[in-house]
Amino acid sequence: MSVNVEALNVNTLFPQMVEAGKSAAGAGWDEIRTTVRIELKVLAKRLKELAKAVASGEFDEEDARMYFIGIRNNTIAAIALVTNAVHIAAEKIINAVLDVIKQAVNTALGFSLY
Amino acid sequence: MQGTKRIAMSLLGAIVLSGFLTGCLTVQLTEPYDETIETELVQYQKDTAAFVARMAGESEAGTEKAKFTAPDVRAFYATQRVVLARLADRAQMLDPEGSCLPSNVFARSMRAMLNTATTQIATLNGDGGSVVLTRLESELSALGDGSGPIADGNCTFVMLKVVQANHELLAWQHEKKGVLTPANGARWFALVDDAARIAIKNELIKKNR
Repeated sequence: MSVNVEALNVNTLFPQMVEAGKSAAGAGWDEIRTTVRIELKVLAKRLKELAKAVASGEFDEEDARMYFIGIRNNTIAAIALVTNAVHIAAEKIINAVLDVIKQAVNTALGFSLY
Repeated sequence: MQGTKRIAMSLLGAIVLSGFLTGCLTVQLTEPYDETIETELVQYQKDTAAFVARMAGESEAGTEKAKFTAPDVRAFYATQRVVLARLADRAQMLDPEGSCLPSNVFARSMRAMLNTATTQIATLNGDGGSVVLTRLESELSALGDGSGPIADGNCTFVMLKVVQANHELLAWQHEKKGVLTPANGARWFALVDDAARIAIKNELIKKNR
């Protein structure tokens, strides 16, 4: 069985892996940045609405406390959302790099192993 | 000799890699996408928006149908409660052992949020802004360092629990005031809508992974 060793050359493979990871990360991180910006803006808006409602007397103390808990809940949800977005961005990077390795291994072996 | 060694090393590397790659060609670091959760959350969001709009109209018209005690109103909250409980169970089962983040991260993030909002709140007339900020700070302290059970479990489950919790807040406010006026309904619905939107977005991000 002949093996194409050059296909597994680290000097060739590594830049390809970095490029694949970088390109996968680009879209993912942009999405995360946008998500964080939107969610923080919404949460800040709700805090301002709470403040307004208290200042105008529309909310009593109990309303304010419960509304604040609602904002806190949404902050937790927003952080959970960003956490998942980060995990998925990391997945994309890892899988892009694994794909480069897979191609290199298949090329080296001369047949499709996977 | 050197060439033979290189070939042997490369073959060994290929074998190790094939072992590594076999069965795990793609890595998944978080829960899978769930079409049912996405579809039913979208429906929940629409139904709740329609309900709050209907309540606003009924309360302005002064009808009995606007009251929390009205059978349709009670049925709405109860039905949606069941829907959300089923979705939360489903989300938990996507990764029963999953854990989203340590609870102190949530408390630290809340503090950062309050700091971010300070400027906006401070623009309120008079000293209302500073009074409210002091109150919010004290509320945050009262909540403690962690966020309780709502922050436990995988991230999708956490988001579903938030939708459930904010649904209960809407029902609580309706019961307390008796009716939901247009202004009050919109204000409390915003919390539910934000929570549902975040959970739907989570499904869309997972779908497009």
